[in-house]
Amino acid sequence: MENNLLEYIEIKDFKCFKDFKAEGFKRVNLIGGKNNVGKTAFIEAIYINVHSKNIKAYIQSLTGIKLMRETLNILENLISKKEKLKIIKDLKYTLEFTNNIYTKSNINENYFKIYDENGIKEYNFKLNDKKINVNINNFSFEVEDVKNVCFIDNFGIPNNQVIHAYSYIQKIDKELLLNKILKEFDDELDAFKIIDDTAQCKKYGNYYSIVELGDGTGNLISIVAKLFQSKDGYLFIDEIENGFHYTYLDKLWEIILTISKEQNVQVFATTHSKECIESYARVSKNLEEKDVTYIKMTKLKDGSLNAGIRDYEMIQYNINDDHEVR
Amino acid sequence: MYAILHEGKANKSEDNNILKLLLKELDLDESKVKFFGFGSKINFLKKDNPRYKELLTEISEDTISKILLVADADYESNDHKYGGFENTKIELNKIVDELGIENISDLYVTRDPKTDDGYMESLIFASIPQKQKECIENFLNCSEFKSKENHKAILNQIYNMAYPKKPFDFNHSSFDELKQKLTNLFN
Repeated sequence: MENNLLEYIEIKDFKCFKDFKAEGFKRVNLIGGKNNVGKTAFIEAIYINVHSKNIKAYIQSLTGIKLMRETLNILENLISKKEKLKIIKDLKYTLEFTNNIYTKSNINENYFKIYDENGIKEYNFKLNDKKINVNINNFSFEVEDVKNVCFIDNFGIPNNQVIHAYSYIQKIDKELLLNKILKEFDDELDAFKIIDDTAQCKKYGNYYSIVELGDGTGNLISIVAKLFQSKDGYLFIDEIENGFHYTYLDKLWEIILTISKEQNVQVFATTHSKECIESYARVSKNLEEKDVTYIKMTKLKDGSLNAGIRDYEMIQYNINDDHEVR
Repeated sequence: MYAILHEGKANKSEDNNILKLLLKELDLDESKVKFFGFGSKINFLKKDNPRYKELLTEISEDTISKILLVADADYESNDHKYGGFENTKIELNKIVDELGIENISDLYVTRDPKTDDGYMESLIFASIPQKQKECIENFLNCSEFKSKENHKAILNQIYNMAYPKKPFDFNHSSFDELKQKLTNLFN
């Protein structure tokens, strides 16, 4: 992790961030704060920053974050058979939505700007040392996934992504570990399998598609599988507590803290839940896992955004003294 | 919000209890105060204490706007460097400067105002009538309970037994300075 640990981030002109800096990230980072203080945008900006491998990967991150946010609208339009949304037929729209974004970390520096003057329209990119200017008419709009950088949004991940992520568990023969985790989550769940290209779990002797089971089951499988897929990379989880009863949160954090360490994954997760933060503090203490932060996003009086980073000691102090840190 | 940094635990100590009672007496809104319990005085003097780190973070978040540090004077005879009113004031001012919070901070050194030494219990003790005070002092001087914690615990017990219904006479002049500091915190 020493080589790929993202320790600080600088974000300019992206969503609610005008000129923002934060530093002190550790291997596992939990982000809290009130509504509309940029928790999700914060992890999206980091997600974009770690996609500087090549232009196709960078485009994937810029367009991917917009598509994730539009999931419901896309589905609604597809189901009602209305004209497809502009964002589906036109990747250009989703890309141009992020015009002017600039991010810099200890790992990467990148930006995307649109030059549009005198009838010439160009996309200007900077990916670390490389500057690329492309006339829009020549731009391919091809994208490329970076396999070990994963994002689980607040709706979870679709079936095909679960199947793909599960293949990383299969490659290192950890299927039994996933089954054990599922059994601990719900002792009526016996096994996870891919059957007829569908992610399924065995319950009461029969296999059911995970969409037929509770959200928690699907989310748990997604998180475990994506942790393995993100080996030596990054995992972003929006609203991590979704689908989980508060009594299971300790186990969830135990899984995340343990596997992320084994697989060398840096995790950024957002939450609204007090129980989730308390559980995070409790489990990191029990596991003596100090490579953690709690980041509270706040809007300052001048309207700018601030990331208050609490290290392990501060997290423990706040919890022990019943300080409200949400 | 305002921060009050004090000895003992936040929300679970005699110091915290008295500060809350005083706020109530002054009709100051306790919900606007965040208490930071530092345990013993020595923790006030450690710049890298997580409580200070949290305090600085909350200042940077625009959550905390003013601070009052409340620490015991203790006795210079027991500790030439950190004991006594003047030494405590000097050391606390040093840490406030090091933390860069001098513009929004104020100090109150808890003590018997007449002798300028002691702790929160000494302040309370200073507010009771002279005759009762002498009785308790004689008892404590004769007893073998020399350590600070024993001394404080016994003082508390005696005080609570002697004044079960009216625990603190906040109108006594001994409390004036602390009352003023708390009022200033809210202004």
